[in-house]
Amino acid sequence: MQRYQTGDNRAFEILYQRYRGRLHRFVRRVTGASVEADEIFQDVWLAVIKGKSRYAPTARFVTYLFTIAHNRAAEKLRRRGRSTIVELLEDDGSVADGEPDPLNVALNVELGKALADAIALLPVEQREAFLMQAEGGLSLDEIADACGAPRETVKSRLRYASRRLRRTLESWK
Amino acid sequence: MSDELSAQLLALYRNTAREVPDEKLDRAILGNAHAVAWRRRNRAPLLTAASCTSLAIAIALWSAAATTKPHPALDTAEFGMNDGRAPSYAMNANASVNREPGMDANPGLTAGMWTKPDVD
Repeated sequence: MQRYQTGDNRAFEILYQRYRGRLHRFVRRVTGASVEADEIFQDVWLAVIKGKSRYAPTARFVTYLFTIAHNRAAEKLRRRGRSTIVELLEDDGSVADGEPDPLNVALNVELGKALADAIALLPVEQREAFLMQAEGGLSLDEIADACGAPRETVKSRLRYASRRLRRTLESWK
Repeated sequence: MSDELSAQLLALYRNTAREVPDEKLDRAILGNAHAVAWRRRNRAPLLTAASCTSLAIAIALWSAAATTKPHPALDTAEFGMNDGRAPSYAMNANASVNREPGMDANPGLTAGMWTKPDVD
């Protein structure tokens, strides 16, 4: 990001390629709607582009990115007025990100679908916390910063999310 | 989320969640980044050019004003605008060149009156 700030446009492309899949899946799963997810996804990157001169490296870039995404998604959900209602993600046959491990994909494709559905059924705060950890690799503190919630609250959300997901996937054991 | 099962959940999620944004989105976002960068790159030289032009105009105006302003010595010599300073050497020299022999102006006479040359 600091290279991008100094005018290196190639640095932006590298950042974009690195986070495009993770960020898109995050907003898509948090909002539960592909059209809105695309809008938010674009908004987030536009905010990065326009705000590059104001960016201060006080946190990791990924935290900065997911914080913007959280704010945009929260705003969208508030406007929608049903932040706790979720929709199951429809399978649109999207392209794979990078080089998938064929064995893993073959073995886990169904389980993965079940997990994605279970995530979609989580309350939005738990879903968001789980996805920030799973997609962004954010720590507890970073998630707390991004969501503007206390660390202990985030910890509880993650614990509840984990418990619910495990329960949902019990039948797969 | 530090227990083994949670770690397995994360691993399972990361192994199976592989959807990516549509290529149209990629093009739109990267296109935006390029457009913004291009505008920023081209805004700076335009400003510089504008500043240079203004500066050049200012210098030209200042220099024109400086060269057309009459020198104080010329004021006195050409228009008789005596400003109280002693006449310059150039003015005196000029005056003697234009004077005809024997027609020295008598400081005691008024303008237009000449002394008749003494022929005797």
